[in-house]
Amino acid sequence: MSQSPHDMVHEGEYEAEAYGLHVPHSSKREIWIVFVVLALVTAIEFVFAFAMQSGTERTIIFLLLTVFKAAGIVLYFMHMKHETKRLMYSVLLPMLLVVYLVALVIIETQG
Amino acid sequence: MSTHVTIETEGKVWDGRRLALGATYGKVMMWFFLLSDALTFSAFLTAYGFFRFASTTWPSPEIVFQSFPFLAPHGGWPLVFVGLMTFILIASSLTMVLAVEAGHRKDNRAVLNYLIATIIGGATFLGCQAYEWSHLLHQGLWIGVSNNDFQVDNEIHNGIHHASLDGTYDHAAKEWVAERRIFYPVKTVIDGVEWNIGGQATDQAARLLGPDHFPVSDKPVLDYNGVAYMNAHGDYINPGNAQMVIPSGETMMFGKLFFFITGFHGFHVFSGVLILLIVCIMAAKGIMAKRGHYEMVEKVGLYWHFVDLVWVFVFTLFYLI
Repeated sequence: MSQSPHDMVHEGEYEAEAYGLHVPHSSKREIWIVFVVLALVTAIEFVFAFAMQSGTERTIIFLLLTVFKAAGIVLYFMHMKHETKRLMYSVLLPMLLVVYLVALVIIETQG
Repeated sequence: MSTHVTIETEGKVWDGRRLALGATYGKVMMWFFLLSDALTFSAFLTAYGFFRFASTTWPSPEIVFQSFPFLAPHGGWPLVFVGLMTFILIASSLTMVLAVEAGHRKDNRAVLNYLIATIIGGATFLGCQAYEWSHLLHQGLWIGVSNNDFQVDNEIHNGIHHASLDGTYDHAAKEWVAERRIFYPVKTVIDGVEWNIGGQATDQAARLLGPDHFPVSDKPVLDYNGVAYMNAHGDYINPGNAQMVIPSGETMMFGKLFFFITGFHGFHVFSGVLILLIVCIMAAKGIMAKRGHYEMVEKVGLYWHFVDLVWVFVFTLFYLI
């Protein structure tokens, strides 16, 4: 009676729909807004590159803007925002190891 | 008949009826592949940061990256070309996500058009990178540098410079540094003393070594005689008197890291273009329309956005900081 999702998939239905999933969807409006924000933040980075002397403060500003852009790409372009919390944490939490590594490198290179 | 195994804990997450992570197998696997790839890139970029911030001097991005094909081939437009490359990649990410959106609407025509636009963007980016690589190569930067390439003496013997062989290296060294090597920190030996010239001094250099121990100039200063450089004390040295000019250790390290990491990223872009071509052919043949869903476009989309994501970090670390 109750058909397993795999059977349904072989009959040519969308696997995600066969499992009764709501497929994440983003509107064109949202996509364009994210694109414009990414382009603007890149432009702001250029302003800082020429208007500010290189140094620790500028490096921190660049890194913050970069993480902001990365978050925009992951959350909206890659639809991470619409995925389940479980998938989100499975992918993002291991990246904390990188944060740890970067922190170590910063500490060690400060002499 | 498929043999569907029903496990005791029916209705729970892991019984095979529900997707554990709320996404299809293909997409979850793509996410985990991207996670592993992200860790690989993190390792490379962290290694770069490690060498970068532990070094006393480093090539200045505004000086290294200042040429633009046709319009400013000899420099003068700092960071403009990489800005264009970054914009092209972000724009290709936009057309990619629009292709995914069209797939949700099951609009085969729009999927095809956006995929073609994305492929054009990716291929253009690769072309830009090829230009940049070739330009830097011609300026003498590469992953490994043979000492012979950088010895004035050797260049004269190879007839590269039209200076006489009677021991006056002035012309050769002056021209050589003037034409090509002002882009990177170099080490020169003048009367037995080593000088480091060019590049940007890091905080580290000022704090740990100071100009007394390690003369580092802020920027190359060109004087009316040809080329002269000023060190932190304001003393001029003339590289024309150099007995030997070699790239500094930092310049060579920069070359290794730059070409390896942008090469690894470029290889990802190249693979992405190939996969996009395959999906594009599938769309053109109507394979996905027949299937009734466009998950293939979503999966290649995830990969493509990841390539863009990595570039965001490469751009900041190599071109801005």
